[in-house]
Amino acid sequence: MNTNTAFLWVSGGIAALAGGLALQGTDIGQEAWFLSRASGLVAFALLSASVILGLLLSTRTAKELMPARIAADLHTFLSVLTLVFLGLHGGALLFDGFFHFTPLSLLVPFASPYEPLWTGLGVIGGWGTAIVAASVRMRRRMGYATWRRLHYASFLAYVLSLVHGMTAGTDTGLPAVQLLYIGSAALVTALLMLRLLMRPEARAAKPATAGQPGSISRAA
Amino acid sequence: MTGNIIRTTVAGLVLAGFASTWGYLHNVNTTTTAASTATAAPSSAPAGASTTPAPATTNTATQATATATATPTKQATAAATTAARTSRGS
Repeated sequence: MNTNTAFLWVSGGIAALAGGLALQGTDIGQEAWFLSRASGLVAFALLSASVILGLLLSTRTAKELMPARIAADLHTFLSVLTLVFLGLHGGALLFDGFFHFTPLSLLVPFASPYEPLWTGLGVIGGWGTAIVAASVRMRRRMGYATWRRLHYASFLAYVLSLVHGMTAGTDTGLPAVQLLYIGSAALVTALLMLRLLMRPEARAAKPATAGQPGSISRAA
Repeated sequence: MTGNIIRTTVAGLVLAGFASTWGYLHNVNTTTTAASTATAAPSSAPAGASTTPAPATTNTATQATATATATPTKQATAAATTAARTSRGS
């Protein structure tokens, strides 16, 4: 077990303990619904942060804020945390007293008893996030070009998660949640535009570095 | 070493954010419960008090459930169930 794994287990344990204490003396039926909503919002915020940091890395803006190596490490760590909260988001629904979610309805798109279409988009987005996060570990094995193409799926996963949150989420009307969605979408769109505009320049400026693993521009 | 410190700090902030979000959603629910109670029984309000319902900030299901809790009559329970199912999509 490496440091990261150990750290995640400890964090998970602390979160479970805090959650258990918070649930003492309360009705678990309602609490599962609250837990799923809260973890879903946090998962989206983490996914947004990871995508934004990835775009900052690919546009070489991140190095003005922090060393590129730390930014890349943080980018990966945020995607792992996103998966942890995605697990919590879906897992909590198994304990919801109103809807009867099964593991299959959580893992298979459009099989949900609640808003099948919009929840299905969220399930696809979740799978996309998981595949992209897992591909980081398999980058050398699958080859850089394949990995990079696969990494573009993170944008699709982000859009699907945003649509899922806005449509299936019951808290979309709350000002803080609207701020999260609009702010995140605006920032991601702006950085994506910047990256698309910078791309031809970057290609012309650095033709020799293309294809080398570990380059900053490849972290996103 | 620096990476571990940053990861620990970020994880701590995320956990704090998660707890805050959970609390925020609870607070919104509690606020709506109070608003729903006032709406459910306007006749019990003191003379001169406004009977205009406070603006709702959360889902219909929560409001309806809150109303049913405040006035546990058959009608309220039926209304809550209908609204909750409509809101939550079942």
